[in-house]
Amino acid sequence: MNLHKNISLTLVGVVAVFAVGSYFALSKTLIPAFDSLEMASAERDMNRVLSGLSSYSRQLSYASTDWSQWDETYAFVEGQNPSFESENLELDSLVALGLNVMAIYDLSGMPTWDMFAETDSEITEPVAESIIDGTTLQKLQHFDSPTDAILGLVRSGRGSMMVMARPITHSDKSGPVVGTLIMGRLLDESRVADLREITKVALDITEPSAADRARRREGGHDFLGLPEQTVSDDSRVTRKILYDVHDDAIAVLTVESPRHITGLRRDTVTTLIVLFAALGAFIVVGLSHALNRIVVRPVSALRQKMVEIEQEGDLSERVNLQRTDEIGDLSEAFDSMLQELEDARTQHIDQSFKAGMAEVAAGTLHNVRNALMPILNHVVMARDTAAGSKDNNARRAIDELISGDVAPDRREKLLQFLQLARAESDEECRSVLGNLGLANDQLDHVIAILKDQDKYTHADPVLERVNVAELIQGAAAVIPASDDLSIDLQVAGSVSDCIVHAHRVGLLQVFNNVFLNAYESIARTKAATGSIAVLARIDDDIEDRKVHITIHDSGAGIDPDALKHVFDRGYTSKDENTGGLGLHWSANAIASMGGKMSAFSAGKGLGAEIHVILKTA
Amino acid sequence: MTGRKQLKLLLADDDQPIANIYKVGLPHYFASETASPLENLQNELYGKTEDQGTSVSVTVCSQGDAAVDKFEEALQSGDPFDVIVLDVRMPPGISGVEAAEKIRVADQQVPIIFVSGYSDVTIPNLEERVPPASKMCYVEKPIQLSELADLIVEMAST
Repeated sequence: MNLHKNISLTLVGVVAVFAVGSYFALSKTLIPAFDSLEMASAERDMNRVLSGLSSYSRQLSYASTDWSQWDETYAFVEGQNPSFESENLELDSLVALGLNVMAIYDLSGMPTWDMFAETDSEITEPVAESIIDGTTLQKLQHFDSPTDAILGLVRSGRGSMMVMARPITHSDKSGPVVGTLIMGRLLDESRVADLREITKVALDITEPSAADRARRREGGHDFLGLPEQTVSDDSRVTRKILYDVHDDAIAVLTVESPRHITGLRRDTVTTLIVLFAALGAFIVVGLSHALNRIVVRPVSALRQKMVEIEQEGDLSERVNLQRTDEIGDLSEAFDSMLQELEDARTQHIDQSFKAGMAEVAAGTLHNVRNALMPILNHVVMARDTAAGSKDNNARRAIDELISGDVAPDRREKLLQFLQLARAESDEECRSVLGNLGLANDQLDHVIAILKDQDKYTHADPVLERVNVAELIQGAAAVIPASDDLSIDLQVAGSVSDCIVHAHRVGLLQVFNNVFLNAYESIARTKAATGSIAVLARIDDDIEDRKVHITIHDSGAGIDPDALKHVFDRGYTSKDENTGGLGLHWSANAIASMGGKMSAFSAGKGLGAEIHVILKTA
Repeated sequence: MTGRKQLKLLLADDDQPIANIYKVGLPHYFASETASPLENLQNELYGKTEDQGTSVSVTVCSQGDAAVDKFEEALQSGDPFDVIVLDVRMPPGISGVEAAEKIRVADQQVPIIFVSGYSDVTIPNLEERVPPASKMCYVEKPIQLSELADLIVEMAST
């Protein structure tokens, strides 16, 4: 898997983890918070309804207090205020007080006056058993003190009714109690509608179910049971069972709170998820792009360069990312390592070449010198034998014999001497021939050695990318520093751009030879100063690009006739015979690199130019 | 033969033609042990020239180990060699320098002449390995036997 894909997948994974984490965070924090808000809202709705019902009960309380602790009512119950009924007890009073029932009972429980009217109806009737049953009436007339009061719900024949019963006393609340005042207000559809209008809450008061009736009252206060909530998709319903004065379930108050907060929560969560998704996608794309630009692309470039270097083996290549971050440092370190490797390889090649040359030279020297020693000595021995002194004595003996003035016994010894000399002379001749033959054999041995070395001369030189500027700089070191002759070396042209395909050590040796020749040529002019100018340029040939290097010196120059022979083996312009191998070898070396070497001079005393043309790398 | 000195030489070279010229040619540059009939008759006819030169006996080896063995044998027999001539490179055996080092252990004064076509051992190194410097010299091949003979006589007299 490549780096780009790896990073992209990692980013997608991180964003996915972030999305899942966000979802759970929302589930654990935001959603419960919204649920709590919604529950609180439902409770508020219920409280507003209860507050509405409380206002009803307060109205009943105020009205019942006014009427039950009124001396006029007191007197009326005692039968001392006959006009009270006509002046106060009429339908308008019930309507004004918002009552459906108003009844006054004496201590025996008999009604002194009672009236029932449907809401918004002008039809009245007595509060009969069908309105409030006798058991309930009895309960409503039982007080522990004159200031006691009973507030509660009763099941009337017309529906659930909120009632308030108070004992009838003097205005100062003093007794004795003469009867009971009961006021009631039906919780009918009209009142419920009023409550809806007042509270702005969707409420209803309905008949309790059989299950509700069967349930035992648990907690709550007055006529209200404990709240219960049920939740549907659209609403949260809070219900309370309403109990009558006997603690029997007589109605159910239902408050329905629409789940606006849940909708808001859903919208909020959806929006957040969409936002997170968009943010995640943006982060993935943005980070991927940024990482691709900052990391992946430079690393890929580095890798690509490494692969190229590995495949082509060209250590002169550089990554050169031009960055200031760690990747830039890595690139710089890699380039630096390449430079060191290139230097080490160059040094290794140079040393290998020199070591190889030294080894070959040492071996050749050893073998040739060994072979020359017998040759030399066999020749010398042959020469010495041929020049032996005994020949002179033989000549003396012959001269004596020819003179004739020789004693017989001496004559005999002379003849014997000549015979022995002749025999030794023959032996010496054979010895000379033998020595020459052995010398000849050794010459064959020398020839064999040379032939053996000849095979190395056919080995192709190892060509590599060579920077001409570096070699020129290296070769300049061979120009001798002298107090008598100062050389001005000038390098011009695009020499630093000239990279040629050549044998480094061989080309360096060529430049060494040319510079030394130039120096010696200048020295022969006896001038105190001289110049060597190097010009390098790239020639765009039709078929090939070539580097043309010109080395001009202000030396003694070359005669036109001699110019034709400067590259011949053995040619030299120097006073002493040094063998003349420099330019001959140089031309051959350049040719072996696929290049050309030529010379030009306008004549004696006019300096000279050496031209080297090589293929660009 | 009166007054004639004789040098006992030990020479080692792995190159057979060189070993041959040491054996055959080198004695020619020293005085002969015995005179031939021709020389006797010549001396009788034209007068005897007293030969005060140095005669030589030559032992030639082709390897360094053999030279060391020969030297030690001669030393133990009480008739040691006067001068040693060694090639430097003598494959496949030990080099002439190594042979000289072994000889130096047994004899610190015998002159040793190194004769080599090419040596990767420098003269200072030779002087260090085969002291003393006055009893050692190095010459390059090719060398004429007459020059070598003169050098041998010179080294023998040190």
